[in-house]
Amino acid sequence: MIDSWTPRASVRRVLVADDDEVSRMLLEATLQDLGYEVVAVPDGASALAALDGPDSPEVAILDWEMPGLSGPEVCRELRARRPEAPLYLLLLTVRGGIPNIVAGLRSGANDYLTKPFDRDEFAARLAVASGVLALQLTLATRVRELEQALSEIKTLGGLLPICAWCKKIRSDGDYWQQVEEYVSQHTDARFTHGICPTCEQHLEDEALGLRRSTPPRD
Amino acid sequence: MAPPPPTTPRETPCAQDLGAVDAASLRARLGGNVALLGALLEVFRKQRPLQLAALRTALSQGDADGVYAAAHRLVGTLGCFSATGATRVARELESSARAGDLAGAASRVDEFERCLDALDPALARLATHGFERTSEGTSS
Repeated sequence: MIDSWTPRASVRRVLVADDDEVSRMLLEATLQDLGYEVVAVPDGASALAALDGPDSPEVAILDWEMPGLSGPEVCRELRARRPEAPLYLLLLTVRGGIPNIVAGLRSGANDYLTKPFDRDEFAARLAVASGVLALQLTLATRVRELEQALSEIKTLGGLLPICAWCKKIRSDGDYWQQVEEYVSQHTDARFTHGICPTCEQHLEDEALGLRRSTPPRD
Repeated sequence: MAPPPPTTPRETPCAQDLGAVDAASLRARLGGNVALLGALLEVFRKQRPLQLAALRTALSQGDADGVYAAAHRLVGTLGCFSATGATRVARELESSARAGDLAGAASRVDEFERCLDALDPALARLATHGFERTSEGTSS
């Protein structure tokens, strides 16, 4: 049943672009009933403007024939302007037939439905849109995390100039840093300080005047 | 010589067919929301004269693209209401215009207008009395 289809967290707002007021109003009411926020516009140029921004709706329901820009033209323009944007475009039109469906999908639409729509099918298609967008979002986040990790590994994998005596490291800014400071800056590692048994013995010897003040070498 | 095959007269829908509505389909699309149907009907009543005027103007100017655009939009609007009779005639107008047959399109306009005349009270009845009384099938 319809009520079992609820929007997932990834899709909150849906844009409706249709020049027919009855169709627009019906879509708006249906989407609101399904739990979505709706932005409704009467033509292709307004749809393009509403979708071409960082805070644009995640899903768009586009009529084919509209004044100015058609639905497929809006799809083509958006894919050219924002090729990597997580934007799910659905064409909803009275135009049926395989050639139209193929042309619509080739314009950059993710899905294609014919009017008059069936409410259950419409809700199910929107649930698919949510799933696809959620997957896209998860993958984009993972890619960012991997890129970040990779950049950190490269930083510490290069040739590091280190002082042979005090063990300070020369940083990219051409100044010398303590090893702890340098590593902390370039990784997520943090240090706790203690004294190892060798150094402890060395310090005891030094206190008794048996050694000079130099760090021990293994 | 064999007699010529009987010609099939073009189907002339009766008044009941003209205003036919698939009430079950409409109810499903609207989720049974009769208030929404009433609101959509109000919008349709306002835009109907404009849409018909656009259709007639395009016909009088011999503008096939204009006739196609007006008919196409009407197909979309009428489909929202599951108006099977009016949608059928609107699709015929659309096909005639696409084929450049403006005479054919012009011959259907009066019939189309009668469809809309018959459709209005059918939808108004549903908006007033709800879908229960006609949910078993087609209403007109």
